[in-house]
Amino acid sequence: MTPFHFETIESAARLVAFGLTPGLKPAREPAYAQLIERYRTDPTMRHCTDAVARGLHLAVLGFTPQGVVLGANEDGPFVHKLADYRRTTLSVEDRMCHGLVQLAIAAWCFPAAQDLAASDDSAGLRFSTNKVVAYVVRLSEELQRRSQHDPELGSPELREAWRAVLQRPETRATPDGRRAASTLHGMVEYALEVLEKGSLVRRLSDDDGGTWQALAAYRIHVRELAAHDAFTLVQSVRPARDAAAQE
Amino acid sequence: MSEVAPDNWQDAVTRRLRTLVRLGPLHRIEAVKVHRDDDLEGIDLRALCLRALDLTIERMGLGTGMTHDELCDELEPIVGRMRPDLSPAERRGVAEAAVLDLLNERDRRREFRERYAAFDGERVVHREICLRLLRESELGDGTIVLKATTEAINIYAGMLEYPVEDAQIAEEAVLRSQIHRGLIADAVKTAQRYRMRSIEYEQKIQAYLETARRDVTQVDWIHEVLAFLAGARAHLEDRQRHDHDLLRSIEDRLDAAGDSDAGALARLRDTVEECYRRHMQLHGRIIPANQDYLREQDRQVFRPRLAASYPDLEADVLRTALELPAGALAALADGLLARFQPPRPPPQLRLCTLIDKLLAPRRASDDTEVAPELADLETVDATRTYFTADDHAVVEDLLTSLPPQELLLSTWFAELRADGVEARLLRLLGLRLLALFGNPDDPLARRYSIRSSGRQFIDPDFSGDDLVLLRKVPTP
Repeated sequence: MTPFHFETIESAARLVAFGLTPGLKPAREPAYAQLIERYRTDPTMRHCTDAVARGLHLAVLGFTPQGVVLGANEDGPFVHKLADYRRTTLSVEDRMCHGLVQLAIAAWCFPAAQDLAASDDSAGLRFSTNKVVAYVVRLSEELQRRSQHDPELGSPELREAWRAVLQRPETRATPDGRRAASTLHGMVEYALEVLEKGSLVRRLSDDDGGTWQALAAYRIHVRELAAHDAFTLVQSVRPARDAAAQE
Repeated sequence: MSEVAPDNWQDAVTRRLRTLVRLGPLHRIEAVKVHRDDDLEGIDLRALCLRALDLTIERMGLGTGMTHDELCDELEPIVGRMRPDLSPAERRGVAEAAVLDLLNERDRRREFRERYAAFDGERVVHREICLRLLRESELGDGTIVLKATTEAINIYAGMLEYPVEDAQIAEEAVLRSQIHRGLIADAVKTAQRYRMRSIEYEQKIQAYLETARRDVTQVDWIHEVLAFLAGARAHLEDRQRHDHDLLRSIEDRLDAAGDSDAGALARLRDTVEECYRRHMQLHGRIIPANQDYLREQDRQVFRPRLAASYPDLEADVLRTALELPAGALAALADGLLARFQPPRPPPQLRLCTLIDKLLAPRRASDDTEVAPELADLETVDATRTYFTADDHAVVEDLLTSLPPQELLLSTWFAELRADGVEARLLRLLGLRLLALFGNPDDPLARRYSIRSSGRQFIDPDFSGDDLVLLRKVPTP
């Protein structure tokens, strides 16, 4: 067991704190840049930072030129839960759509495994809110064309997710000209705004319902934390569906 | 040159074909322009793309890089020369399209894939070349700059089928010969190509080290990477030695040069010096690479990783999710959110700050309008949320057409409802009356006498005291 010097522990905690500060860049905060370099070159600092992050239910996922990329564990205080994410009461379809929107944005930005493997300083693609909405709708329509089932079969909760997507309005204006939060457009836009606050995407303009660019940190986040788990989560529900279909 | 001379036609054809297909993306960008919405008649997108690569490589050599907007600024006048009739916005649109095409934005920045037939002895096999031309790289200050890939530099420099190391040696040999023979103008041009090769080599080394560093389990360090590093080290040491010799020859010529050659020789010296510095810096990165690897290996051994490969998010995850029952997917929402969203630092209560804020004197309002948070806006029943100008006009008519006698509000509402007046209009009428009741200075209020009847008003939309209304007859 290596004894840690107090200074190292404090530095490790500061590096984690820098990583949790939205918008902070190493080029503008020399102490941040020094701590990143120290993490890269000093094994003691690295072990200590990883331990501090672990204790806080966080994980150091990687680095980009714009800073450290942290991920939150599901049971920790830093995790984004649906209850914090949307403060209004949500129906089953709303909850389903919010989860699906997370998948859709990531899948639009990094559709295949090799898209996750690009270098850690490479910015991702430029895309618009409208494109992501059209993407989910197009995939749902493809599934609709292939479907042989009676659309009214079973309760709403047992019907496939794509049916709920197609029933939901893509966009709808509120009386003051804004877009309603419960539409697909409103949900995608809100999710992107939260990603922007966490420095995972950046907003480029208001064109085409809002245009954005995925940042390298988003790729690292999806690659190191989300992709495998999302795959496992989604696959874990499949047998239940297949069993239900057989009954 | 390390390239083995083809000893049969099959090898020769395959090699030339590979050279040809690498230009495929540029030809395709031009070929599909007719399918675009924009009018691109008379615009040569290939020329724009090549100029874009040229400008990007030039800035990479200066160590800075060029942003997307800066590159579009440079391309815009060229578009204007091709099509003077286009408006500034249209020129900008074409310039942006060329840059986005080089990034392969249409295909979500995937690699360009070019298929070709290769001759393997007597058999024909179909193979694929995957390449990128431009990529965007993030800098520490938050800016994002464009970088040309090694393949793009290769296309631009025009030596497609040679490894960059060999091309560097070849350019340097030509350069040495030209300096020796006093062909300074030619040497300046060769030096530009030599410089481009040094940038390409730098990109190659950086990309290789990045891949090796990111996932140590995917590379064979002992057999592959160490051999690569040893080769790179020897190559860079050679380059530095030769660069140094070249610089000495240029300096010698500069000492004896007349005014006509001095400017060109100085440019030549600056270019070779830049290459020398680049090779020296790269050498400095190669030396500690082995130590870096050992550290990464140490770190990655403990990193939780479920498998070496990643799933296809579109095919394996999103499509599967869309086919799940809505209820089952809803149950996963928290789990998905937890994984895809960034950490959210919970706000912490600091008691003394809170007390200070509570006890602070009230600040003067700056009268700026605060926009409500969009995220929580929900559309409620649209028929009840707002009133049109027509609604207001109808209500004004109702108010002015009131007979000049005392009338109980509940009676009036019951009559209007029986006449089929919409609930929305009744609601507006009620609100208008309340406004009159509470604001005696309203010009309309002066035309009515409104008092409480003391009885309770029972209505689906309102509750409270029933009002007695009297429209005052204007005195002549």
